[in-house]
Amino acid sequence: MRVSITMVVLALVTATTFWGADDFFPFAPFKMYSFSKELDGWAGSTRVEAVNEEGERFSLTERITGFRRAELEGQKGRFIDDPELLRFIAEAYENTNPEKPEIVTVEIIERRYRLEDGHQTGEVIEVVEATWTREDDA
Amino acid sequence: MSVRTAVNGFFFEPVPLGRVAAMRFLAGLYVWIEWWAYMPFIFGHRFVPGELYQPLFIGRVLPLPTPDYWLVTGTLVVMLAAATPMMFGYRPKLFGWILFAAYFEWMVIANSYGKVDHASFGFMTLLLVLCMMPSHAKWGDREHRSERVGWGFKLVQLAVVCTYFLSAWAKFRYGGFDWANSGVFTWAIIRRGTVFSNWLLDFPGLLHAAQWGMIAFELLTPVVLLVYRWKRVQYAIVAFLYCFHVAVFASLGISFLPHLVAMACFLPLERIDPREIARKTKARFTRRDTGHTEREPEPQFESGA
Repeated sequence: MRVSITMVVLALVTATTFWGADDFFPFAPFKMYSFSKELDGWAGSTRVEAVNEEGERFSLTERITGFRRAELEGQKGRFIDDPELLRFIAEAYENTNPEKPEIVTVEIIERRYRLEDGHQTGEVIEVVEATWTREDDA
Repeated sequence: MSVRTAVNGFFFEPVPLGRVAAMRFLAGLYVWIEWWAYMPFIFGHRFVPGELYQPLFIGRVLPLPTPDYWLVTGTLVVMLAAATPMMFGYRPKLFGWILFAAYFEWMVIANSYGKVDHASFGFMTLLLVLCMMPSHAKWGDREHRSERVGWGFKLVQLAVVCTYFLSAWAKFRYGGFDWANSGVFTWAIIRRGTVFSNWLLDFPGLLHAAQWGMIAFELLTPVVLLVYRWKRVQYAIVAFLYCFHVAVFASLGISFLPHLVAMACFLPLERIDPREIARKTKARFTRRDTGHTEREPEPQFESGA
């Protein structure tokens, strides 16, 4: 009996490695750093920046929003399709820091490093992938 | 030896009860550390609007509510309130089940915003099996052995090994068999490099070799289960795995802490008896004039009797 239970659990976690997706948590493929990265191409690093009412620009980090970079990247497609959603990141920041000036603009920025044969060439570009700005009447 | 006895010998290798008490303590200690030091973002999710919640399969099948301020805070309070008696062995089964349920919801809160972490599979298995282990487990108990405990910890060990072994297969699935020839470590260091790893960017050949080494060792991890009769070999492999995580932590700041806690069940923690240690320490101070110093043996590297 106990051996059978063990086998079922093992089968589940093995099966989801090959057919499942993260969705089946806690049985999910253990895919930390499992993606291949081109030796020639661009290595990207994403961040979110905000501009507040006083015109100050700063990074919306996990520490001040409770929303992680990896989570942002996981939902990046959604944010690019519908930049309106960026206001929820601003909301998370304002909930976390109620005493700070409010945010008027949120941007997703990707910094891309050019790689050639695995070496950094020193060429770096920054791309703004999505922007949201608060409407005045809101 | 028939297959049946071999399988039973593998799964039901008796393990002393002392290890249960030690693992309960470690599990509770981890829960106490995680929320403020290791993964503060989970508690941070209490401020994240529900619109960014992306329920997982389990959250859509079970009627789990969208996390808000009170759900996240409440889950944390229940979790800590259950972990405390459990870690000191007071009604450990009852509080163990409460802790398991609360921690599970905690993990749903952690993983439902666009990123799923894979470090806690072994730890959740540990919390589950601890609920099914004897209540009367005492620190330092090397006399009483139990097959049930052996089976439970074997499950945790399997989960720990799966985390490595299956992650190699996930690399083949998502990254292709060429994963080890790609620039994934370069990418990882660009994103999260530290003073210990940034210099590696100038030596892509070394990173390339490290990627091959990583695949090789992940595919070999099941060996640690097979050598269960040769404790010295097993402890040496476990020590290697801990060193691997220290190296990853130094170079990327990723530590897989819950996984490391779960992995401790490979070690003969029943040799640790806090009362015994306290008594010896006291004795050492009172007998200082004899110039005789007793040292605690290093528990990890003693062979199991």
